[in-house]
Amino acid sequence: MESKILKIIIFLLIVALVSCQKEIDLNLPEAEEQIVVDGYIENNAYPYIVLTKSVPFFSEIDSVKLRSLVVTTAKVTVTCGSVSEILTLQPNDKFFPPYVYRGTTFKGETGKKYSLKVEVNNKIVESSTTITKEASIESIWFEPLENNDTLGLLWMQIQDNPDESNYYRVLTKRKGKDSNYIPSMIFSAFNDINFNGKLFKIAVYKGITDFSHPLDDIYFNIKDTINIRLSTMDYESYNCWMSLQNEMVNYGNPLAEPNNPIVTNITNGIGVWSGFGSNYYTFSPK
Amino acid sequence: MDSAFSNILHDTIINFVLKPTSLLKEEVVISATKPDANLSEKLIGTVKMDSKEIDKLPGLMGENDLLRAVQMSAGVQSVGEGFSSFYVRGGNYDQNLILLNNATIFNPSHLLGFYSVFNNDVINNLTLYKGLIPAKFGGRTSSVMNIELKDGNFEKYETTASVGILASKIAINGPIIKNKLSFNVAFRKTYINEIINPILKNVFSSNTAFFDNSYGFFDFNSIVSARLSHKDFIKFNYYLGQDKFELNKSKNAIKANMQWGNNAASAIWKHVFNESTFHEFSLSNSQYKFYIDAFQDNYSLKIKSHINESKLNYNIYKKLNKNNLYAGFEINFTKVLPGDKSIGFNNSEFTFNDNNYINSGNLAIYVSDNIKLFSKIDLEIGVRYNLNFFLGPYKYYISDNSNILTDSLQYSDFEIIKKNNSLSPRLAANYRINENTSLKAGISFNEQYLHVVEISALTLPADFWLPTTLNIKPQKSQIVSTGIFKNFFHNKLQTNIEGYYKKLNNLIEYNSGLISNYYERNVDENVISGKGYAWGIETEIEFKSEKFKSKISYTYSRSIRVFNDIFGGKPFYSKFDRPNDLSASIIYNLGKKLSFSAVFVYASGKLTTAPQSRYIIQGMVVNSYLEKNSFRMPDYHRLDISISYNSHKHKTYESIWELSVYNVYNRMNPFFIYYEISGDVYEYKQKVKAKQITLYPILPSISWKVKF
Repeated sequence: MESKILKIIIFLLIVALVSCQKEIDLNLPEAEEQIVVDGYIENNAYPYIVLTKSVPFFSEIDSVKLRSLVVTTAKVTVTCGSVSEILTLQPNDKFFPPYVYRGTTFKGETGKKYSLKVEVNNKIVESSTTITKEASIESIWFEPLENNDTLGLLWMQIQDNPDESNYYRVLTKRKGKDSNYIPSMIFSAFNDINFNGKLFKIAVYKGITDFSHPLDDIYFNIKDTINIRLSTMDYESYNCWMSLQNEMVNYGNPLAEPNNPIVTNITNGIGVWSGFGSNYYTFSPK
Repeated sequence: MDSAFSNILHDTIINFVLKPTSLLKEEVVISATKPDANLSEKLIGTVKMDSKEIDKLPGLMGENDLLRAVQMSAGVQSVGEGFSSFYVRGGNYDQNLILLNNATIFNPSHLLGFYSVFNNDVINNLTLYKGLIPAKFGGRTSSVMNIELKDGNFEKYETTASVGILASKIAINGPIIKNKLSFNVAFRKTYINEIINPILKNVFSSNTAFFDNSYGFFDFNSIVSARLSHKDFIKFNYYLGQDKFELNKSKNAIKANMQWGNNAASAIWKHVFNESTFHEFSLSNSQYKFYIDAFQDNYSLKIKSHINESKLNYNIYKKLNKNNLYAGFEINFTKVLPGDKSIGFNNSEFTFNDNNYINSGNLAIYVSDNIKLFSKIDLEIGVRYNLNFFLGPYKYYISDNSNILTDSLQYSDFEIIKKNNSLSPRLAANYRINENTSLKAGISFNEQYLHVVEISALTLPADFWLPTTLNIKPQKSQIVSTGIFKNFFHNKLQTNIEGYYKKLNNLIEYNSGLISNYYERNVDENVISGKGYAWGIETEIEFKSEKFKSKISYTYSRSIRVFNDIFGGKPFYSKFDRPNDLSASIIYNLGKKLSFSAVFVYASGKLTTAPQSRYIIQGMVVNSYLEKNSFRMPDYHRLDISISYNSHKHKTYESIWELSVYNVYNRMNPFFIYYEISGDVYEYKQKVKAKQITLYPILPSISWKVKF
């Protein structure tokens, strides 16, 4: 009898203390399909643009669906002053997306303004950006974690320009491991608010590509050879990247509800078109 | 008895000493409430309850809770399961002033919302002013809940103890010096960790995941009351409560330690000068502390917040012909440590702000008069003058247009950084049309100088308070309400219908969640402000007889917010906008030993900002959202029942068993909805599912209570 009572009590307790979870169907209003621009132009490089379409929130993405999201029939024009070029679609078999629009006529130049015009399905999507003056990394070093011989962070020292507000973006690519440049975790976009005109140091965490598992390893291995891209950008691009970065970090977090839509500098579409003043570095801790 | 009380218009001391007599065999009910109190109550939107009424409703896990009982009133809504806080008429939850014997309670909720911080065993009564706040109360823009604690018995000792599944409690009261000095103490404690977890561990030795969490709370109330003379009455009250939650998941290397609690102390001295004049002087100190320390792998997060308020009140009451006057003042000093947060990665730690305690002071003077006109009209006129100071020490950082730090200002101790003042009048009228009907109306203007900043979409104990600062203006509200009250069958059936309109100014919100990418130099930098509008119609029908009691309340209301920084100033529904809200309760006494009660509640679903679509930027998936609070979760409803059996009812000893079932038909009410994402774009595969978390399924419980 006693054990029965005990079991009943235990049952009641478990019922009481374990919250229930179930999968539900939400009838969200149908979302309008939007053109997503993911493009940039760097100093000394040809413009690079990926065009995709947004999908309803609950649609399952597989390789067929993902490929169908890529817009391949657009007329993409980049203009700088009186010069303009219609970009050509090129296959990209290294990583997603499978097709990108690239230029071959003119390369980006510091201080110049670049306009983007995308014409697709009778729709015109536009934006413009400026390539800002690039910044240099003065020094890079590796700091291993405490009690760990293999993992650690990179640190770099940058001299900030005192005459203007500067906006930075840091991406890394590990040789033989990453197929493209991945934004650094935590400080992938930042401004000089706290170190205007100063020689400052900042930590570089390894970026992650899947924010649904945000607690993956964010450190570099001492054996890695790391390519670092330090870019500067204009205020508009910075706002877009900050907003995107916030959303990526909060992705799937039930407690974080956004007050505002993600910032975009694209008219008639979403996404970002940025001019980057970039410098590239390679660093091997060992 | 009625005539003896009909002249009492304000708090008055009347000491009754009832002598036992052998002639009386029937129980005598002495009530300070008149049968037509709903009609004669001067202030519109006033809800009164005593602890006995609360005790009769079904409890959750055997606990009859004051805040859950109040939420049965029209216009008072629950924040949601898991929290005991409430919303009044479309206002935010921080706009309710909760007073426990004059000391402010900043967070009324113990963890999981099973219990509010108020132990019904020591409660005497509560009054909620949801429409018209009397001039003597201030500092909040939606409502005031004034809770009075029970003085200990001056004649004999009384003990109440109860054993429930999750917690037990004991309350003892009695004389220290007979007829002079009495005490009333109560203690409640959960024993999940100490008793239940070890038992469970033995039974389910294979499954230990459940035991990674440990949770507990306790609370303690003590009241010491003294009758210094037949004209002087003093009471001291001390409340201490603490919640502790520990999570230790070795599998995912997650560790979290969260603690919070209130403590409140007050001293009240009442002195009667003569039949028509008395005064009241009170001192109080209230604190709320919250602390969390969480780790996963090499990440760490720490948040600390604290609020400390010290207050002095003085009121003098005078009856003058047809006028009932009172006047007084309030002085308070508040220290706030707002969510001091830091995130660490391995050994590097980033502090998001380096502010210390922020100080503020308030001074209020007020006067109020209740005038009886033509024997049918009661007019209440009150005015309150508020003076608020934002005080040093404080360091204010100044940036230029491009957000570059250019300078900082250091304010010294007690330096007045900013001063706000306001005159807030209020007017209420009660026109007694006839014996069974009265028509009431009121208008009030209110200010609030302390604000809660909610850190997430849920109401959490981590939400912190901020005073009015350089960037945060005082909140203001204007409330207009009117209603008709009608009783039938000699006051057995009481009905009312009330309508209100409320305008709120300078509401605040945290701009981008708790941990944003932005570095805040000033603590109030990330705070945005806006306006709010709320209106509604409330109706209540209550039937009371000796054996049967039932109450149905229904509210239709809307609550709108407009923030320039949210969706470009486009109006949106506040997350407290729940248009339909219905509560119904019945209490049925089946003889002297057995009683049955049931409660049904229904409310429109909570609003949330739902995602609309996804897109890919630089190989990463991002969401695009619907407009702010434009998606309504499924409706909330549930039925609770309770049977109480008084197995021994004796003059000196009582034993009561209570069996209650919360959420009888096991409705899976949404607590929150989250989206589970699996797969990776780089693997060309990704799937999203919506998952609903329900906090409380069907919860049966049994408790045993003894009184002697």
